[in-house]
Amino acid sequence: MRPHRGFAVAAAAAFAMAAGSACGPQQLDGTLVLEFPSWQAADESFSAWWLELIDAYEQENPGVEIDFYQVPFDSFVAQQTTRFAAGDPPDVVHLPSSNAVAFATRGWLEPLDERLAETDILQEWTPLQEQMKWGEDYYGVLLLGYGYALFYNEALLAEAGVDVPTSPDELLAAAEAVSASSDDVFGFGATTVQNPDNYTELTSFVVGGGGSWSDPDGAITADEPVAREALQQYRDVLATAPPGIQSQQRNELFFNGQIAMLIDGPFLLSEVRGAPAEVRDDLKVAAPPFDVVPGGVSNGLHVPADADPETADAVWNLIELAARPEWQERYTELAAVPAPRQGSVTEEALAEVPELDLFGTLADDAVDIFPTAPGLRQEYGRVGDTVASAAVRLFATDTTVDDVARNLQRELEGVGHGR
Amino acid sequence: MAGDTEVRPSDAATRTPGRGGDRSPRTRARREKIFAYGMLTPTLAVVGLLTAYPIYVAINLSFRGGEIADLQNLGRYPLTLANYVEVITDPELLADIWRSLVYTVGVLAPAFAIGLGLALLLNRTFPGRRIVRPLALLPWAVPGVVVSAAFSWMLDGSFGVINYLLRSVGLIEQNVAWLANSSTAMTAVIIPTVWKFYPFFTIVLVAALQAIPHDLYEAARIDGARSWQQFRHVTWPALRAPAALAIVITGVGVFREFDFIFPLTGGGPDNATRTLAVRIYNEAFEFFSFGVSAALGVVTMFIAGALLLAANRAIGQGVR
Amino acid sequence: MVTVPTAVPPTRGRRAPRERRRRPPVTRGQWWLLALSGAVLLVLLFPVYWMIMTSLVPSRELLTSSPPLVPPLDTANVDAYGAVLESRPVGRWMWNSTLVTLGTAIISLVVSTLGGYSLSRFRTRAQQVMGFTLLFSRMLPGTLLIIPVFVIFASVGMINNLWSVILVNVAATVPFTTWLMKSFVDGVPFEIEEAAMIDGCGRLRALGQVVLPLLRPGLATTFTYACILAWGDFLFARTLMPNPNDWTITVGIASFIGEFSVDWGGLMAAGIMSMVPMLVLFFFLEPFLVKGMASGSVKG
Repeated sequence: MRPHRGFAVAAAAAFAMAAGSACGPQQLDGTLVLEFPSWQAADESFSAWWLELIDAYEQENPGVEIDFYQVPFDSFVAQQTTRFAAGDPPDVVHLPSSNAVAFATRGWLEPLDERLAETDILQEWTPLQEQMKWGEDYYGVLLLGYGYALFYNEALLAEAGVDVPTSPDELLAAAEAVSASSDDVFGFGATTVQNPDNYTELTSFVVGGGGSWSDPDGAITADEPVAREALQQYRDVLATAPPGIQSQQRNELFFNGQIAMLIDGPFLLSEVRGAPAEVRDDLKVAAPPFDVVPGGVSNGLHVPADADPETADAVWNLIELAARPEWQERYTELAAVPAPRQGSVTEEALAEVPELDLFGTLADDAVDIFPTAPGLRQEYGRVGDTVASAAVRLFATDTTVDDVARNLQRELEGVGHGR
Repeated sequence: MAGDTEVRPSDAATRTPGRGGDRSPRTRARREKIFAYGMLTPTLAVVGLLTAYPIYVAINLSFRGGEIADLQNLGRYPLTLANYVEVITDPELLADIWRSLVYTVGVLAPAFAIGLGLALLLNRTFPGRRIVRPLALLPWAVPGVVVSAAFSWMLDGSFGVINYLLRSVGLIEQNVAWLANSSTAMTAVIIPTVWKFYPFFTIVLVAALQAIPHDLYEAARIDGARSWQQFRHVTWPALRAPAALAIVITGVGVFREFDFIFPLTGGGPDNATRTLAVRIYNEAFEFFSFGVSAALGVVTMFIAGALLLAANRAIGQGVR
Repeated sequence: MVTVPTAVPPTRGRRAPRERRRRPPVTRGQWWLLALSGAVLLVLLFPVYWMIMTSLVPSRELLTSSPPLVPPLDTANVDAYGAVLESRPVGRWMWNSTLVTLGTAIISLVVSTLGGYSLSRFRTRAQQVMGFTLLFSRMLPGTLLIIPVFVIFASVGMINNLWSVILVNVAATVPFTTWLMKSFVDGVPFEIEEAAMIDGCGRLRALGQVVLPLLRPGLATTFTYACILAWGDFLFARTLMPNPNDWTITVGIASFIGEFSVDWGGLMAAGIMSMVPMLVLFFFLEPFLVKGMASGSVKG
């Protein structure tokens, strides 16, 4: 035993004795308990699917129980980081996909290629599954990949006398028309304080205009004309957005009928259904007003590296069950988002949620808003932070677009080369 | 004025260990020493066990290179000074330190002023004081999580009530996006922190005020001292030591405070509120650079330690 | 606190409080003081008032450019409280918080009284260094220490165990409370103790029988301080007790902030409920906090 580890154990043992208690091992009376923390365990739309899936799993696998519990979204990634870094990862690993690469590069996740080869997942899955790849290996199974859509308030647009926009210019014109109509109503909604969501919102404009932060080799392209144009569009459109608000606030204002348009993923639809009755019917979805559909990966399931084989197999069985066609269809029905398996949108689901048709098409066409260059993917946090800072300069300062672009170019180049 | 420099016999006594009516000074001194350390042992044990090991890990970590993934087996990773080189050569470091100082002083000064003002008020006798006092301390009872959520709601740039109130009284004309604007963000994170911390000053200072015997004021009045002179010569000397301690304790807490800044701004906009504590968190949990984060932590520890020493000297008898 | 170095003629201290106990009639100046206090409280407690507003009024009505400043009678309701109590185990969270808080406060009180006494009465160089080290140990942000702390408790299976949170909260509190207690002990003249020791009491008994009663305000302050810190702790609780059954009230409240939306009404309702125990604590301990010191015996 390494000396400092020994110290830790001794110290902790002293406490354990002082406290007069210590927990038992994971396996009691031969039952294998899989720990499964998730930020979706108390989520209204997704948790229903998880609970059904887990029930089915426990019936199919007697002797295995799943301890599925909620961890608040705000602290979820920090909590998982702590657990992995401390060498005590959970059994079923559920991660927001933007963070998954960082976990994979640290060797915290088991490569799944061999297991995937025995299934049809790689053939039947959305192309966004490629985002679950690091180096040569897949380290996870994508649960939700999507294209961004335009959510809009039909009544507000009609009052302002504008149509649903189909291009960035129309978006700006429509947003300005709505904003001009009242003090308490805004044309567009966005996150207007610094937040990781600034990244997705700004990058949607860039990718939507056919640009990117880098080419596949990692050369930064934030200062190209395409990107600059998108930065300008973002700044102009956000001038019609409520200033100084968090993304949850943005959503709330949209549901209250105080924001006419916003761009977000299909998961927002289930939240839209919770809007006040008098607004709900006005809230509609359309294709985003861009030439290219920007898209993203939401979350996926993973097996922790270094898990004992029995646990790893049991976790994989859960993933494999979740990937079966019937559970993928169920996912579509309960969460009202297109599941990653092709053709999971059933007639019944479509009858219930007509938007699924559009969401399906968008997901198929989507171009991921995160650059594919490995150097940048590995540094997701830094890239996100850098771009978010640029976004803040665009919506909260007078810095010229050229300066913002040049600065961003330089800073992103620094990220690629650091470490 | 009454000699606030006069040293009482007991003062001298407490300053000399093992003094006082000893018949056999040496044995007594040794017994005293054992006793002294014996009483400090529980403190050292609980702090040592749960702080020494984490600090050891942090220091060890700060010297490790490579893609650190397992903090239990740091020996696997090569020793390096690269983390320190990166931290110290980063021109941003000075800005981070500066922001930490601005935040700390920006919180301490108003919190102390409010705390002192309230303490002087609450020390007076008036009807309803029994109700007013606990209410004045109420912000202290509000958990940090709730404080930051409440203020993010009130500081909302579009419909926050703070903007509405300021507009109503004519202090601002347009809504201010407090948390999005780099010139207002620091103020916006200082306000909730002040709100949370002033009651501690109040409670400490009220206790100190109550301990001042009334006779002293009477004597001062007889000497013809006005209220300001009474404050200077009677009140303030009695408050100095507890005030100094409260400032140091709070200052240490605020310098490494994270609970208010992070939920409100995450260190933004454009790093305007990125203090050392926020940066340490971001390096570890957003960027996964555990080594850099730990090196920053160690640097922070030294800076804070130096400040503490300086404060200790400046305050002189306060925290002796 | 109160190492009041001002020379107090010891014999006269006793009379002051007795004189004050006779209640003189309320003067006009005192009413003014009350009015001033009211005005100050109005400003200082506005955030709490606005939290109450938010818990009573649908957030939709507050999200306008001129929100109502008093709850509108027709739409204000206590539904948020009902919904929170019904859908979330607030009672359980509060109970967990109570256990953590009491455990932390009691252990901190004992440990820091002993430590504070030692630091106050024995001023050797080594003691001073240790006292300083205590404060120094609090310089590293908890966010950096949390992973090693997790390692310690995980290695003995004490994750999801209340004791782990209590112990780490004690470790976080004691460096401060020890200093706090030291300054209170400083305020107790050594002669009192010395007299007791000459009477045949040992040092420990002198501490228990003579010094401790005089430390009541210090004990109350330390207890309150530890309670506040432990009750408000979020980082340790959320890291060491991830299981929802073991959540404390702060972790529970944080869960109202969702990925897509914040339940403001619920969050504020739970936030208000989370203040009540500490307010009750203030109400009961406050006289000890401020009066004990003035009781005169200290200076006797």
